[in-house]
Amino acid sequence: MDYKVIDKTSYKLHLIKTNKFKTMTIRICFRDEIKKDEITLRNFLASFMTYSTGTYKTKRDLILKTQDLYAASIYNRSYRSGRYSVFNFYLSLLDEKYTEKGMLNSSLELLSDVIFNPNFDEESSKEAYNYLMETATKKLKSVKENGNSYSVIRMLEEMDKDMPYGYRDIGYLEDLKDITIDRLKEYYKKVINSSLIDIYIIGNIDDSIEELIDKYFPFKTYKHNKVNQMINHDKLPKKSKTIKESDNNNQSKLSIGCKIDTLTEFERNYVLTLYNMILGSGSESKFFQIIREKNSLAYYVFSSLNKLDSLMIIRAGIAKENFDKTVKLVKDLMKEMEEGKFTEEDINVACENYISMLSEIEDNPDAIVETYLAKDLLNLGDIEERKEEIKKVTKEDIINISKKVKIDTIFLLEGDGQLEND
Amino acid sequence: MVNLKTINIKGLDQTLYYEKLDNGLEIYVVPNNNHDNYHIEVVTKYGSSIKEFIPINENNYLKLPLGVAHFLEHKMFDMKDYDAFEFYSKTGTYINAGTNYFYTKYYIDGKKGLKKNLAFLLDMVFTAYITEDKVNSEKGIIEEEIKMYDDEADWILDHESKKDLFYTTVNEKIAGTPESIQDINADILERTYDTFYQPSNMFIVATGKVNTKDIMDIIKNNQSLKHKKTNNEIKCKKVKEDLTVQKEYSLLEENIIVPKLSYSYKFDLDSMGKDRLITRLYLSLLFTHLFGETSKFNEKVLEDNLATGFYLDHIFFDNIYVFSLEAESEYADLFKDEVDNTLKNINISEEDFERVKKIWISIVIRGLDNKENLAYSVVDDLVRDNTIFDQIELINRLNYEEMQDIISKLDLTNKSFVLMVPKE
Repeated sequence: MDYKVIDKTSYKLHLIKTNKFKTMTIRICFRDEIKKDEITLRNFLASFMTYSTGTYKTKRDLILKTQDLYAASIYNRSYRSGRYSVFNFYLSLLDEKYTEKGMLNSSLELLSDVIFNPNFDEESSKEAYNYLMETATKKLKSVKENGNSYSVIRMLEEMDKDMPYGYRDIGYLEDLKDITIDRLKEYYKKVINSSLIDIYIIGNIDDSIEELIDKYFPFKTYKHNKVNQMINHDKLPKKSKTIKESDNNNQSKLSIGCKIDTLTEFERNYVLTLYNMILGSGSESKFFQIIREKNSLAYYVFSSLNKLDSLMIIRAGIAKENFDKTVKLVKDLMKEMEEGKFTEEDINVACENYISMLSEIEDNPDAIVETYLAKDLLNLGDIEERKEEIKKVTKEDIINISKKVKIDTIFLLEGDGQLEND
Repeated sequence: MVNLKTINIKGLDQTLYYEKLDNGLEIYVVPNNNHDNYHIEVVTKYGSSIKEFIPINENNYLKLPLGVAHFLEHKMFDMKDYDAFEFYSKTGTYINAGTNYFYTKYYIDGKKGLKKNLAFLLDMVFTAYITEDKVNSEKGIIEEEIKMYDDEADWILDHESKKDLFYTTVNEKIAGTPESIQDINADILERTYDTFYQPSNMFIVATGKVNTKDIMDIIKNNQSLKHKKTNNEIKCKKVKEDLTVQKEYSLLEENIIVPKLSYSYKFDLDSMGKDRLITRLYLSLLFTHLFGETSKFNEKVLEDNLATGFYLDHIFFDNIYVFSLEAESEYADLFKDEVDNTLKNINISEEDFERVKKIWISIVIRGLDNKENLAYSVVDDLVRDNTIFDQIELINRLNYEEMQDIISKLDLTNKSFVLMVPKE
């Protein structure tokens, strides 16, 4: 795989040349500092832009066009990453050798239409606006329906509602009423003109691609100072707080948020990863072995890292009456990490899992692009380097980092345990 | 190993290799050297749809409590002297399994140690270590798994819909219920295992970065060390699914904000003059056209706000094919009427017909890049249709005249509607 990055001033163009896949993927990434009162608007804009354009005014027209391009697909995905909001448009198409000449050109032209020619005409965008308003309303009203994710949302809100990780990624119901076509238009201008823009292309590309990108994506952004994407915590909690809320689920959903102290690059990129794996990720982890297998307390129990937030989140689906027991076990197992109660074998296993995970990335074009993003953000080496660096992590490193992870907020979305009778 | 099939249209060069062992075990390998990792599945043609059968070496039918196939899947990971998860973690190899109505599969994903890892997988699946103690401790875990799903409204809707549509086969939950799994014990699991986990009832699929000869050698070597019974005919209680539905309408109340609905039509694949697989492809194509993203139906739903989202689904077995629409809608009745309306006024142009075919073929080609996806298609095609690697050929064979003929023979009598509303 050949990687080349070209600084085009208004944006960075990342070219990843490989002939491993039958498809080509283009990802255009807009990053900007997240503002709580813009989340709902931003999500709406992303969907709006992939629904209706100046040329393809209805969703049907847009889809018909992609179908003509041998089922090319155009989609959007927005998410928060540390202090930033990341707004993405993707184009995925089959290589011309499986379809016909001219498809790449036409597909890029279509993506260009989506990005540079949105439809803000009141009349012809009515369908898009109404439909998206309905779906957004419904989605925001139904946030409690998925107990697993709702529990995490609530826990983070209770942890720090004024920090970006305490914001709801899906947005807020009360913000919907303020979304008008005019506001969308203004916000669009801001996104197009002042975001940090990266374009990633992966596939069997040749040198002519740069010309095509110049032609179809004439970004002209103006620069201004951006905040640091990564969030560090001023202080770690001395004591944790526990909040319970009831819901009508069968099963209770437990979410525990832990804050992580300031780390070096090596600690964040490698030591922390192994710590998390040994403690709570995968079938060999302490959580899986003790909480699930030994005590039969949960079907799912695991920990995951938000490195840019300096957070670790633990989740489990349990029966209400097992709350105290489960929380105690979580605390005990975290203490075990601090006390070095894990073996060199555990470290090796976690290393192997990490290396495997990196290998899997190489079979997936989207995952490969994602690593290039992470590379820039976290100052990571390329995949081969990472496979070597991980082996340098020592037991002492892991013990030291364990002491930097502190439970901040324990949240239980309490179920009533009533099973519906069939 | 025999080169069973090659796809070489449009510059694709994908070959499927095949061999059948003396003990009946079949092996399918689709190598792709553009991948860095391998993916291997061991499959038994036994899923939750089999509820009653005569265990091997016995004479009477055994009726199973719900959830046995899935329970057995969990138990396969227990081994006498080894811990499967611990073994695979040493090389960072991913192992998992899944049970559906029709088959159970065990699979590994990895880069290193193919020989050892495959050999271990075979040992794991071809030996059963089942003790009453372990069975009892698994009950707690599976109970939590069931409860996790039971909290999801979409899952509840799907279950109710299947209960109303079907009398047999797919009408019950795959994992069972917290009550039914209490009736599962080591004896039942062993007798089920001995019957269905015979090599002649199983097969292996390998995709990704795999060396065909290596795979074959490992499997042959492993199997020759076993004294497995082979080619024993398995007697399952024959069930015939009625063409009618159990219940035409159900109303549920759950913790949701916007009402959800599931509306299904049930068809007889033997009533339209073609074989089941081809008929199914035509029906699938037709419904994609009639209810898909570019359909008139979709336009109407958007214009009149009949739903905030809907999707198509289908399920089939024997001569039965059910097409469903699931939607979230404040106007369930209007949505339902529009579905009926669409089915009473079917219109598909030759251009539309050919367009769907073109899209399907593109999707198949894309699927070849993903080793898990590819293995899934191979497994599913084998178990459900007893075909292999035929998709592109079959899609190309479909023609517009036959489509019109199928349309003329559609019987829209049998349907079922489930409405789920918010609790007061």
